[in-house]
Amino acid sequence: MITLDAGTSAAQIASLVNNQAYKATDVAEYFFERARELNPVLNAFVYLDWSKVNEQAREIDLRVSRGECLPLAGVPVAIKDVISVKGYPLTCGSRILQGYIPPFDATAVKRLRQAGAVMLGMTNTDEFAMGSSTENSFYGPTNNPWAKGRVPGGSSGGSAVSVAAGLVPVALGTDTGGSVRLPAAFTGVYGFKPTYGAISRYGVVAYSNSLEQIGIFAHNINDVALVYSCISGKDEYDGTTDDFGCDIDRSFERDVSGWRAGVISETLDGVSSAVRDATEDLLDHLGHIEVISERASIPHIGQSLAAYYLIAMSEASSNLARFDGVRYGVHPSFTDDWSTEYSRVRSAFGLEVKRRIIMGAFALSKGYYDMYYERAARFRSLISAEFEAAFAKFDILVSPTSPTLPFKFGERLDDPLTMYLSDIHTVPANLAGLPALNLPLSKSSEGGETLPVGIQLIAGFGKEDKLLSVASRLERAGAIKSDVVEPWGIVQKTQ
Amino acid sequence: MSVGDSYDFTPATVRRLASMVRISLTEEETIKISRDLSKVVEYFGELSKLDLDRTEPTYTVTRRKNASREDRGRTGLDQATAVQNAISQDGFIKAPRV
Repeated sequence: MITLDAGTSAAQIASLVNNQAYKATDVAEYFFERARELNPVLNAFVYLDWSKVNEQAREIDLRVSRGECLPLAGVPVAIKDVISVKGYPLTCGSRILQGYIPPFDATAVKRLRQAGAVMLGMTNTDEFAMGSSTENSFYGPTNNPWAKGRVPGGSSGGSAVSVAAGLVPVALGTDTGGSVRLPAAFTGVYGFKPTYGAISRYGVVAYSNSLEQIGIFAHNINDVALVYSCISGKDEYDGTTDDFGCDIDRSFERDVSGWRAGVISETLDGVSSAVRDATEDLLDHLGHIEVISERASIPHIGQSLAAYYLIAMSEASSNLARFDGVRYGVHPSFTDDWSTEYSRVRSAFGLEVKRRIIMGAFALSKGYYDMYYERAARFRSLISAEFEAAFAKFDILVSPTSPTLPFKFGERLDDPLTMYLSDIHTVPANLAGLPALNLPLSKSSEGGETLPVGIQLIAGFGKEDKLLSVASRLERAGAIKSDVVEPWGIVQKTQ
Repeated sequence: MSVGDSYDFTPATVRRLASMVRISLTEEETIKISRDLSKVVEYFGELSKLDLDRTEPTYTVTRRKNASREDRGRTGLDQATAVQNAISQDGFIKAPRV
C-alpha cells in the first residue's frame, strides 16, 4: 500500500481517499502541518488557516462516505493570491487590497471543489502578477528551496515553491507572459499554460486579460492532466472560454513515434550554456522516443517581448482602473474630493505596478496609440501567423523556458528592462494564445549549488493533448523526474 | 514622430500621466519612473524596424464571436454580500464626493 508522504501524487491521494484508506482530513493535516513548518523559511503561502482547511476536508470525507467517487478526492491545492477563493483573503500581493475577502469562488476553484479538492491556502505572487521573480510582493519575496538566495521565478513563485517543496501535490498559478512556466523552470516542476480560453478566467483578478490564463503546477504529467481535465472547458461567466475537443484521457496512450519537433533556432542565441546543454539533452531524449527533431524558425520571435509588454501594460492600465478603494480593499477617507481621495488610495500600489499603469496610459493615449499599442497588436498577428506556419510542419516546438538559471535576489530589481528580459522565451506563446508546458528536464551546477533547468514545449492552438502525449512518453522513458526538494537543495525522492 | 525616435520620458510626462490615472507619486518615484520608462520606451522601438502597416491588428486570440446567453434574469449575490467589502450605509456603497 502507498503511504502518504510529501511526494505522494494527486492521483494517488484521490485513490487513497476514495478507497477510504486515508481520510481527507488526515491528508489535509499532513500537508497543512508540512506547510506550516516550512513556510517560515520559504514564504510560499501568504494565507493558511487550519479551520477552513479542516472544514473542507470533513465535507469531502462526508461525500466519499456517501459513495461519491471524486477525481480529486482530498487533494490539497495551493491557489495563487490573484484567484478568488470564497472566504479566503485575496490581496494580489498588494497593499491596496488589504482586507478584501471575495464573496464568490473563481470558476476554476468552484470546479476544484466539485472534484473533491481542498484549498490549502493562498500563495505569494509579484504584486498583481507583475514580475518575474516573486520579489515584488507586499509580503516579501518567496525563497527557492533549491538554493538560499536564489529567486523562485515569478510571478507565481509561491505556487511553484509550494509544489516543489511538497507542501501540496498541485497548485494553480496564472501565466500572462510566463508566470507559470518560468517559476516551474526555476523550481524543477511541471508548469502548464493552456490555450487561451481553455480555463475560465472568471474570478481571476484581471491584469492583462487578452494574454493571461490559469496554469497548473505538478510533479508529474498525470497530475497536470488530472487537474486540467477537472477545471477546463466552457464557462458561461467567461465569454472567451471554449471546449477545444482534444482528448486528454487518451493523450497518454497515443504513439508519438514519427512526430516532428521543431527547435526554435532564434531562441538558442544568448542562452546560458546550462540551458543550451539541457536543450540538446531534450533532443536526445526525443530521439529515444522516436520523435524527429529539426530546426524551426519563428523569424520575428525576438520582437515579441516589446509587443508583449506594450499590450500587457496597456491592458493593465485599463484593468487596474477599478481599484479605487470604494468597493473593496484599502478605503478612501471622506475629507477631500473624489479625485484626491482616489489618487491617495492608488498611491498604495507598489512601484512596478505604478510604472506599468503609467506606461500603459501613455501607450494608449492620443497621438501615441497608433505607434505603440496598435503596433503591438499588429505584431501579434504577425507572430501568430509565423507560429501557424511552423505548426503546418511540426507537431510541437521546443525552446528554453528561461535564458538563464535562477538568478539571485536583487540582481534584476533595479533595472526593470533586465527583469523583463527574463520572459523573452515565454511571452511568444501568450501573444499567440498557444498552450505551452515547462518540462523539469535537468539540473546544473553553478557556484557549488545544484539548480533546476526547464525547457518548454509549445503546441498549436487548442492542441494541449500533444504536449501531454510527448511529456508522458518522456516521463515513462525516464527522461524527466521531478522530485520534492527541501531547503536548501535536499532532494526527497517522489514515489 | 514614429516609433524608435527617442521619446524623452521626462518627469513632467510622468506627472501628467500619473494625474490622468489618479495615482499620487512622490518626487523620488516620479524621477525613478521617468528614468526607467525612458529606457523601456527606447526598447519598444524594436517594433519600428518592422513593416506592419498592412498587417491587421489582433486584440484577442479567441476564435469565438459574440458569446451570448439566453436573456433571462437570475439570482446573483444578495445585496448584503455584494456590499460586504465596501463602506456601506443602508445597503448603499459610500464614496467620496465628486
